[in-house]
Amino acid sequence: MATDHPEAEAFRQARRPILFFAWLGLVGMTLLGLGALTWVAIMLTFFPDHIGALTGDTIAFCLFILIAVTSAAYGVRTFLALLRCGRHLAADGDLGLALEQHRLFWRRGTILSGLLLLEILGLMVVCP
Amino acid sequence: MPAPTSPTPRPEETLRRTRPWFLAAGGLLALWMLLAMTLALLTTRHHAEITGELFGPLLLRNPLTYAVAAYVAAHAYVGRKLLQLARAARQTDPAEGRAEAARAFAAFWRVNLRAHLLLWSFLAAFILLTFLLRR
Repeated sequence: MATDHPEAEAFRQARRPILFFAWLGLVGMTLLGLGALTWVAIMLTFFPDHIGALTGDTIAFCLFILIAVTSAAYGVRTFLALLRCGRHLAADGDLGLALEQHRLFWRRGTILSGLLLLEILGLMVVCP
Repeated sequence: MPAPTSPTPRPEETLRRTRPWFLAAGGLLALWMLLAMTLALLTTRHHAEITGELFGPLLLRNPLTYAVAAYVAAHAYVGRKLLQLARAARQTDPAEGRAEAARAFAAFWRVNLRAHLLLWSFLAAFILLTFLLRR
């Protein structure tokens, strides 16, 4: 259902940048998740003894991978909201729904950014 | 009989509800920039202590300085547009508020994409150049 107030066209001008940004974010987050899992696979294949021993390094490695994978998963969810926002911004889309997805994107993005910042600061304190 | 659906909120109302997240994201953006600058300064100071060289010239020779400068410049520009969007989202007048919000919304996303593409292109070229010069 199209929203027909005169400013709707101005909102819809953001459609292309939003879709482009959403796809870039989705690809980036997927690469982050897959990269972290590939790293685990490489470590388990070539250095199984190192992973098997529960040293400080191993715990830090596992924590780092856990952070990367969970951030990637939440990041995909975040950018999916932006993708839905872009799709709703089409000429026959509902502007209200588009901006609701936009709100979800900012909410999730801020939470993700804050958690990542805290985790990085935590890692900097734990492993200086 | 189908269940009645709640009407979709008006765009300017939804943007007003997003405003706290715009402000929180802006604050976090500033913290990320501070972290990046601290990282560049601390690594340079560490090198200066080890080599005994002067901090200033060493900072100018540290590749991280330029990457951080590009990151900060791009995000300061995007952050400014984000604050303009947050200010526009605060408008309570329906007609004027909606028009200003629509303009700020489109401007933010245009600038955000442009700044990120420029930043990533710069960083990719910079990393490639640094790698090639070291070989």
